[in-house]
Amino acid sequence: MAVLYPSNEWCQEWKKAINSNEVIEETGKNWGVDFNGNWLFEVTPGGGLDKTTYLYLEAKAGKCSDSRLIDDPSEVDAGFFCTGSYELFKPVVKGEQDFIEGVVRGVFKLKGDMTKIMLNARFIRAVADSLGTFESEFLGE
Amino acid sequence: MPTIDDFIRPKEWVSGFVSDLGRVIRKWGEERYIPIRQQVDEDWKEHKIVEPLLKEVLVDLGINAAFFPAEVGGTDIPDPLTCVTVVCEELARIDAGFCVAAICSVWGMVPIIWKPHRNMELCEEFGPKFCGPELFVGCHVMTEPDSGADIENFGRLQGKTIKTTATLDGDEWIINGHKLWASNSGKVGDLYTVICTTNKGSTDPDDFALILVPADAKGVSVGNPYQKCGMSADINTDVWFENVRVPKRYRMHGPGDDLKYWREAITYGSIGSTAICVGVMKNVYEIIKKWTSERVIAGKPLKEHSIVADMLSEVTILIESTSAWMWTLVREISRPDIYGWDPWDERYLLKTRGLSLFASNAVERACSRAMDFMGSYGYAREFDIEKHYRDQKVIGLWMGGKTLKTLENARYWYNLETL
Amino acid sequence: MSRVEIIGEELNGLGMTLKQIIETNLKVPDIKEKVGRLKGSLVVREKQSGISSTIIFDEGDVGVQNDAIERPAAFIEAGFLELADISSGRLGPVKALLAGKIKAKGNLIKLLKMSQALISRG
Ligand SMILES: Cc1cc2nc3c(=O)[nH]c(=O)nc-3n(C[C@H](O)[C@H](O)[C@H](O)COP(=O)(O)OP(=O)(O)OC[C@H]3O[C@@H](n4cnc5c(N)ncnc54)[C@H](O)[C@@H]3O)c2cc1C
Repeated sequence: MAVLYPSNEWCQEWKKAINSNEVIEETGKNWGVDFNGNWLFEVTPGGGLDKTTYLYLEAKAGKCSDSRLIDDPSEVDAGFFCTGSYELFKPVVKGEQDFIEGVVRGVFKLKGDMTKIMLNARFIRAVADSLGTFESEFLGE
Repeated sequence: MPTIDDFIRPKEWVSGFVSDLGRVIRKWGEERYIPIRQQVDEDWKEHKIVEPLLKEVLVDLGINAAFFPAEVGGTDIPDPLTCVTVVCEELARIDAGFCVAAICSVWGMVPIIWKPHRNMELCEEFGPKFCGPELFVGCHVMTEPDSGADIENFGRLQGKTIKTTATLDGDEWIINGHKLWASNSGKVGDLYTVICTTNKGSTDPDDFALILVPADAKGVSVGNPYQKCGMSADINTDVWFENVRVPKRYRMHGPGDDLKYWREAITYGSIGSTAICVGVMKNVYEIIKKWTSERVIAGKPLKEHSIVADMLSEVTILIESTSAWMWTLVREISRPDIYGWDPWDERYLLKTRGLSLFASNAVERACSRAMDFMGSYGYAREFDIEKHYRDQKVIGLWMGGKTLKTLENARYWYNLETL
Repeated sequence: MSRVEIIGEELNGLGMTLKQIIETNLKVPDIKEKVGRLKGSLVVREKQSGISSTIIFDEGDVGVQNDAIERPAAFIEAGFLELADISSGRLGPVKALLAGKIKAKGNLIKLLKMSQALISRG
């Protein structure tokens, strides 16, 4: 059954998808081990979303321990912050567009230690790819 | 099974960067040069094939810029002599003549680009040309119609036979003379490093001068390429200087220092010549290894005959011993902090003569022995031993020939007083 | 100095990434010394997106700008994963070149030297 992006149910599905993915487990074994590997996504309005929404993802050693929507970005401590509009996140969540390519193009602004991203690029790609492994539904469609 | 990469090349002395560069050159050679190398002899006069390839190496691979200061667009390779040695080995493995043309582009520039005696004013003037996107080639003109060996025999003759003169007229040098044989002469060279004297017949070291002369300066003219036994990828011609005027600042360093840093260039010439011999021998090793493994004589591969194994063994001994001696001297010269002599010390010039003599004999022997055992196939163009055989011969003959090399080596070890 | 200047408009993602990596690397004395005095430009093009950035080395000053300049000293094209492998030190640029994983043009020796600014240590 399709889950609505963004919602807490959707976050749980994503967590499940991550934790059952061997590629993520293998490529992410060093992710977040001696640095803060948690992510905060800021999804800005557009394409059916009317208010800025924050998604938090806790990731360490190839596993996800928490994934949820949060109201206030200051309530979490994330090493990586990514912002982009809902309209632009949608094709990534659908698995139609490559997240890394979006970052390279500057469609998504990413803050954090880029050397860690480079060192773990295959993990990042695998986590992004996991989005397409479960069914999502979207606002405004 | 061992390959050419198993011959001596001390890993603790040759940086990863320089080794990488060697691998890039090798790949370039396999793709770009080896397929056409048998056509180069026909191209000796026009250089229709060679010139674009020279550009690929000097400009695209960046050999020209490698040795220039970063401030003028160069790469400022930190261990230049090691780099030259690897570059020469790799290029000569592909084609010794091509290697000579490529490396001689920067050879004559050593006195102004090498640390610690860089002449930044001249680097600023000529560096951007050497390091730019167009082909710009240097040429080191020493040899004259009267004995070339005598010019290089500075230790005894002290420049008194140099006939090319430089006369100061206000802020300009006026150059007159006739040079020949220099690598990259003729239409190839864009900038000459001219060995000349400010006082004809003088034996005063202060009168020995190194002056830069752009090839397009008024009064410079060149002859046609000589047809040679080999080394067709290198063009050698006459060069005439007739009342050629260049700015005073084109003298590389001035009285005394010109000679000092020219000596250093000669030392590097001997190291480079040796590296060329090693490069050629490595290719000879590759060729005979394949040939004697595949060719069956009297029921077994050629290499399994004891008399052939003797030759195969000898070739590897020649490569190993030449490499070992060469790398030891490269190391010594590169580390004055440990060994105590400056790279321009005359003793290095004399010592490296012995090395290059040994190397030229080694490569001559290796080519000849390889040909002995390949029969007519070794003599045929198709298998490349014939090419190396023709190319290598001159390595012993240039830079004063085998006699001067012998004399200077003996002069160092025995303190000869008359020879 | 280990700050990398942004030349012109706001950097694309590739440029931001390169800028940050170079800034981190220039803090390593050995890398700083190796690339410190270089002069020249390096265009990096990410293959899938076609996005390019130019890194300008100017005797100690380093700047990054969007898009490819004309006639850079060197040019490299690679997919993001290959760029990541190179910058994290897992794939040597020469090996990548020899294996055809990246494309390079221009002065290769300079490219190898400039690429040291992009390779993290440890
Ligand atoms: C492919 C190629 C590339 C070259 N590149 C350059 C270059 O880049 N720049 C340049 O200036 N020249 C270059 N040369 C020229 C070369 O260096 C000279 O030809 C060489 O130095 C010898 O000079 P020569 O031919 O005048 O011989 P000569 O000086 O006439 O010598 C003849 C013979 O006398 C021997 N001899 C020397 N000294 C003595 C002595 N004291 N007593 C007894 N015998 C002695 C020599 O060994 C030789 O066998 C090149 C030549 C070739 C073929």
